[in-house]
Amino acid sequence: MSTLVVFCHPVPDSFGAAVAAQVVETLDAAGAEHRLVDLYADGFSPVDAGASTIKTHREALAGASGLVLVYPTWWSGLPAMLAGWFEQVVVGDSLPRPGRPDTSAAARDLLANLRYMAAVTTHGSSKFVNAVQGEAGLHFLRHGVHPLCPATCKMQWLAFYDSDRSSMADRRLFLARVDRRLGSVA
Amino acid sequence: MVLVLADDPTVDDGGLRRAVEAALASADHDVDVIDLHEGDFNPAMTTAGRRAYHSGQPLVEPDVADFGPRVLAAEALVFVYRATWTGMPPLLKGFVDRTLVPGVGFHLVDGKLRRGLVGVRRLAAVAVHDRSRSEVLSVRDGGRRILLRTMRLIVHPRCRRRYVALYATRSERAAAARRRFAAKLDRVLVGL
Repeated sequence: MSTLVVFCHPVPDSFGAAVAAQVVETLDAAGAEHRLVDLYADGFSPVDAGASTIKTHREALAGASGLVLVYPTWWSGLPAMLAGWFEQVVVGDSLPRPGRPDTSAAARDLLANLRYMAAVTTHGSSKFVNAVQGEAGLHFLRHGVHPLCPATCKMQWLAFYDSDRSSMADRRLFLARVDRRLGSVA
Repeated sequence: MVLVLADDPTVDDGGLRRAVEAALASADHDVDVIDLHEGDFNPAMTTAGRRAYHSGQPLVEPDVADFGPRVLAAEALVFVYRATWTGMPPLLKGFVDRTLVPGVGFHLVDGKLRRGLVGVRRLAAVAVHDRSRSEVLSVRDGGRRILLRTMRLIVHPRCRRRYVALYATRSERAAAARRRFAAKLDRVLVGL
């Protein structure tokens, strides 16, 4: 079983890319098999990715024992690109229906092998501002996605707040934290 | 009023659009429609757009260039969409990500957030959910959270916010709910 790393950031030389590189390094060091999906580099379409692309992503997800999402938090939530990945790859046409809360069976099947799920994300503004804004991304992952994973699946929230005012030292500390925390579950 | 349409007009025969149009017909608003399904709007933040993010001239891409001035001229912002699993459709999240950037939606002064849309005194989200209200609440309604709560920090401090939602579209009681939805839509959009 391997870990699927979904990386979503439009700029290849951003701090987000450094975070993704750290994630890969940590997984390597832990001896965990992994596969990196770079949505921007792959030219993934958030609205119409095409049946064959969706199938490839689903196969990768179904065979994964770990899911690591690396993305910037924009407007307190997932970027449109990553939201589009969730909509098309994870739920597709299997959106739960009223009165039958458990019709998300297809999504559950895809996530059935997950032992852990981690969100590694950067926020431009402070933790306080994000709390006021409502942390839509955290709520979606914790209350929308995590309940569909097996009961034993752990969820890690590794967030870097206040990146607009961060120093190099802050960033290095965050990378070290990612290494430590992710290394403990991978 | 800037009306941002993010619902797919081919779904449900454009019923949501017609309901919004009907409600607006009796109102006396000067409406500027941004239809995200028209043209080639790309919801994913682009590399060039992200590089220009902090530059002071952030709207470098042609598909978003005119959204900035239109949103800045608005007194009311209304978002119309069909809710998806993540909350709002990626198309609408892309509009928010790419249009409400520093210099338009907000300003960063010494890294601190300052309001950008101080002219916006009315904010409304019109959403159609396939899921029931309790299910939507259990996953913390990401669309409502972002459009009416996160957005609160960038509009006028006393901005009035309204949420008009239709839930459980496929349940047996949907017809009555639809009538109530249309009535509330009418009331809210006219009185906005």
